[in-house]
Amino acid sequence: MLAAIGLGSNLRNPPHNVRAAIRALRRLGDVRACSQLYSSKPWGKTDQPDFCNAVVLLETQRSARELLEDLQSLERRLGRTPGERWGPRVIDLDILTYGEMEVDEPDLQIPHPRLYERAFALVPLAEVDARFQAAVAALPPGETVALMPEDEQPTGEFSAGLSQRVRTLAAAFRETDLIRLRIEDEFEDAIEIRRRPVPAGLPAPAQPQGAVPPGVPANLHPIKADLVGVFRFSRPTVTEGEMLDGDRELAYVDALGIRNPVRSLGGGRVVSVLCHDGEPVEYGQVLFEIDRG
Amino acid sequence: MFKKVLIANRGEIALRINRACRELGVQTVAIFSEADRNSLHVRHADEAFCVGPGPVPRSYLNIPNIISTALITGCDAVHPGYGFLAENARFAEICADHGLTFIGPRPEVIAAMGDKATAKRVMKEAGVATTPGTDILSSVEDARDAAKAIGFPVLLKATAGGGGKGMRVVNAPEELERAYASATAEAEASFKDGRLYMEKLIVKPRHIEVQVLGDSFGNVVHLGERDCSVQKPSHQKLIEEAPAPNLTAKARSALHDMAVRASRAVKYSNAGTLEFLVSGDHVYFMEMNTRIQVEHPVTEMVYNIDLVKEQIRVAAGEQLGYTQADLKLSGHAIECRVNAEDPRNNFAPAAGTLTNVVFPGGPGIRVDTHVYSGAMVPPFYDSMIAKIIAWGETRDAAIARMERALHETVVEGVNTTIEQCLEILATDRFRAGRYSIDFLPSLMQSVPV
Repeated sequence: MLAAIGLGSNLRNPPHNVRAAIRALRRLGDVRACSQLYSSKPWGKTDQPDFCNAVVLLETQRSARELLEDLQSLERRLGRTPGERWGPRVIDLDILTYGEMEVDEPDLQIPHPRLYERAFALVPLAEVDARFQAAVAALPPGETVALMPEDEQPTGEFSAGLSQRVRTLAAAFRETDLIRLRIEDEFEDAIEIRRRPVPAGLPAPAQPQGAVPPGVPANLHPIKADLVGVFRFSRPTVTEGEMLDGDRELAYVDALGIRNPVRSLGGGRVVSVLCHDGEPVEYGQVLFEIDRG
Repeated sequence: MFKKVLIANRGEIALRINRACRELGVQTVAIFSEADRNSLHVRHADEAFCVGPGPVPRSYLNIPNIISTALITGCDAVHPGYGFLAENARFAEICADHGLTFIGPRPEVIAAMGDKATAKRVMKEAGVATTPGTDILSSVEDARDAAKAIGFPVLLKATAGGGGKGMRVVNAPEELERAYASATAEAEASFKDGRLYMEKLIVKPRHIEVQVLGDSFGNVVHLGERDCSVQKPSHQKLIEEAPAPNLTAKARSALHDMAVRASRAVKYSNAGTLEFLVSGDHVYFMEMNTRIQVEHPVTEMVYNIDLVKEQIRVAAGEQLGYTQADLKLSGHAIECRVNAEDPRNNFAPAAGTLTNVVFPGGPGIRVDTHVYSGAMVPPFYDSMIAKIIAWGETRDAAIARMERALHETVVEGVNTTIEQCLEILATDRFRAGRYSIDFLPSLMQSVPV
């Protein structure tokens, strides 16, 4: 179902909060469209910052009520700071429309009851859903909103935005000796950039993603303990570098007086022996590494 | 005293046991599943061994790997905590077979108390009041006589029954004949066995339990009672307190006397809990738990005693060293369970990463927990992530302190029961200390979802 969600904030750094909420909404469904950010004057108290508003079209599998719960949970998550259990909400999220559905319950009304009176909701909505353009013209006099300045806009946040950030970071990254850089923001978005290994004097080869760094055998196979006990080598004792021509018992784990064989499960070169005779081993502990070639 | 104890558990109780061992100068070995590698109980122990993957049967119930861990690390005792293997008589026997002391009662006592029918018989013989009831009823006349003797309301139950089939509440004599006929017919249709028996229906009882402690020299003391009547519809406890508020003097002394008498009768050693249903002056034995309980801290707070240390001491063959007269109750304690679950979504357990965690502190507050900011809540285990315990000189002071502590608490990343605990603490019924096991289910129904 396609739902229109109105976002609004006027605490701390409103455009930042709205952009963060747009990013977080991607986890609730597929963000199909996002309006630009608008600003509107708070009426009454004037010592508050201007409101920042936007509307997102979200394709979601969630029911209207489930979506409402998700949004409320997101409001709490984005808005709460330690010690401020009942503190102000930094972001307001409202379901403006949910497909063609109409809901009229005490805690959930769709379409939003004041949608047609509020420029800060209707104008961004009309931007992403043309059906509402006529309603904008019918807004009460005095209901106006302004576009946020260009540098506050979400730079195509949910599609181009991330790659934009990656490109900027990657450019800065190239000027350093760093091998790996991971940046996480407070909303759990993470970007990780790794330097591609470049052998000295050679042009960088085109490597598929997930390729193994040079020097590490491509088919390294760990042999793990599947129970807790004492590690013992079987005879003859296997050594690093040894070639195994087939399945062989390398060692055993002595558990409760029972000898539990550890087998190589095939041939290959023994790259590492990771245990000493008589050492206690735990479940899942890697005992040998074998290069299957 | 033991040299090294294997802690066969996870979560907050594993940490709790580790703390007791540390203070006694006993070394510890933790076990953990692959899902708990970064859990706090692993970091606090002297040694830690992975015993299997996340699912419980392959790790925390993996007896061969647990015993093997104890043996290769040179442990001389095993503390089972609660849940998992704590009330598994077979595990206690296996420990003994491998020369490991099981920190708990003897296996035969665990087995006897684990079987409801045996437990009830043993308790009756020890003079403990159980729910009045009958054997199989031969006729409606038989049922009428039985109901007169027991007193209305009564419950007719199918002997082959389950899931409420063939069960009828009978409030008055004139309802009996009809209820008997329909319950028989229903039981006959459902189980091909129409035989019925009768039990007294205890209306809106309180769930009150008594903590006992015994040593291997026959000394037994009680450490008062805990009121655990704040339970979810699934009977899971959410808030517990000690002592029980507004308990009649008659009921209180009956509870304490019966608990001690029953424990002596089975020569109980180590910590145990007898659970009762209480209605006015009447108390009825339900079951005995042969382990340390989740809610043991409220007792520790009002008796200023370390129950887990006492468990270890008596298991190591020491005497209690004090008598009932030495034990003095002081003040009031309340525990709130913080579960990673959603009270608005029928308490479905919630797994995930705890993005931010801040626990309360200050005078009279104790927090038993294994989680921290950034910790994962794996989907395999119990949803409890913390216990917050508040002590006060009076019950009112303890409630005020608990409210203060819950407001200080921040858990982000998963939904928790904190807000529901606050709602409960704010109700007139809780504040007056006049609630029974129907309290939380009815409160939940009245809250709009």
